[in-house]
Amino acid sequence: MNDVLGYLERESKQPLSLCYQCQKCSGGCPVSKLTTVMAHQVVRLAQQDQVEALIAAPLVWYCTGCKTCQARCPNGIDISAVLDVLKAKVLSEANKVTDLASFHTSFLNSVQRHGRVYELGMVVGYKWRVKRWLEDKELGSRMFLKGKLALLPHRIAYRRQVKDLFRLQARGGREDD
Amino acid sequence: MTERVSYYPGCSLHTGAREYDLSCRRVLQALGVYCAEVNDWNCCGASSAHSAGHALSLSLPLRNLLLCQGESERLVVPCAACYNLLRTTTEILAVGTPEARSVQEQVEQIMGKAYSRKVKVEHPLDLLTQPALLARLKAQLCQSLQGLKLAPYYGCLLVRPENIAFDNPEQPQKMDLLLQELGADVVRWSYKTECCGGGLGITQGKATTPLVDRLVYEAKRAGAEALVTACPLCQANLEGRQSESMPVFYFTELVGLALGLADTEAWFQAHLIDVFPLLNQVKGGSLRVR
Repeated sequence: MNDVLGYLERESKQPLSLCYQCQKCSGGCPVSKLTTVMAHQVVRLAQQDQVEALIAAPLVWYCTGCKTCQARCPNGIDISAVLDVLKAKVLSEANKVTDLASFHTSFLNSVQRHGRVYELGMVVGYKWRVKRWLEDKELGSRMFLKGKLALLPHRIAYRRQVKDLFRLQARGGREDD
Repeated sequence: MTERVSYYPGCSLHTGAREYDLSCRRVLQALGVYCAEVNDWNCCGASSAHSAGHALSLSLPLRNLLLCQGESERLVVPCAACYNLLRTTTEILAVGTPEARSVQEQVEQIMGKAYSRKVKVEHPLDLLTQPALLARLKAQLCQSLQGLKLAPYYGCLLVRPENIAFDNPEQPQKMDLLLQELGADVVRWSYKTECCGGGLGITQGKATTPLVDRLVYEAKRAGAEALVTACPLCQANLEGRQSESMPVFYFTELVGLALGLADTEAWFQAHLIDVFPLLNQVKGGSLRVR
């Protein structure tokens, strides 16, 4: 991909060229400490057309979508929207789907199948995919005992409609350059 | 006077956040607002649909908006994430970019129904702090929550981005005001819109604990004995991921408690962190939990 900056600006609708690296985004970002590439560095990498480094950045999957970056940016840039574009790109290429990415796959599969999220099935599916079966078993059992995890999925009646909405997504397609 | 509104619980309120669902409906009903659940509603897509691309993040919420048409077009949404997504969808469709219009047309075709643009997405916190309902609430209070020291926690999705916020994004006040009306001691603190970790609570629990512990620490430092939220994900993270045992209420539960509603005890029993020791010590144990 040549024009990474142009591609990300178009897809995310964020004016990345305006960024002058004031770093307010990273200052307010709750997960700055957890990632090697911080929010302001995402924009810098985009400006340098470094797509591989962007896709590999853990922040893509650690971003909580809290939108503090957008609220504090003097140029109104929403970094989470840029990260969403990168996520969609990774999720559309099955061979690149990593641990954290597979959460979204588990989640969306559940919605596509039932119309609603079947939390127990989704979490088990995710922990299976990432091979961390026993993680959170203590919290999970506390939640289960309090009736916070339904054993069976809640299915909607017109699941066909929701399946059609997912197909519409595929038909809309994303341009690939 | 009874008003009927459409009500979108979302997936969490049907499972992990049952007490938020029950308390929200009961409180609104006590104040003359009847919640009619949207028939056959689907998941709004939460944080995953917008990760997978633009079309799905509009189409999933839009189906729910279309389902409201013909019913009450005031749509009450207690889950902060669902509120954020449904409200954002109405904003995007109101602007009507070519991309959004194309998604809208395709969804209309699938549903066999045209989008009227009339559905208004509202959050119960906003509803309860509007003058008419607040006046009704004040008239019906049956016990004061005086002595209960609370830190109102708004999190992210009710206040950001600015175009969907019904309160000040950096210094929101509505939950503070509501809890004060109930007689509670509301603390001032600077962390009311800091992130709890959101979806990381499910995927990366260990990464969430420091974020949650910071909130608990700061709430305690400000003098609070409990946190109050308006979001099922915040509540789950705050309760499930903290290293201490500070109770975390939904604001609707406390409104129900102050109104003296009958089912409050069942809501409180659903909590992972026991709230009864705190409630039993307030006002020398004279607070009635029914």
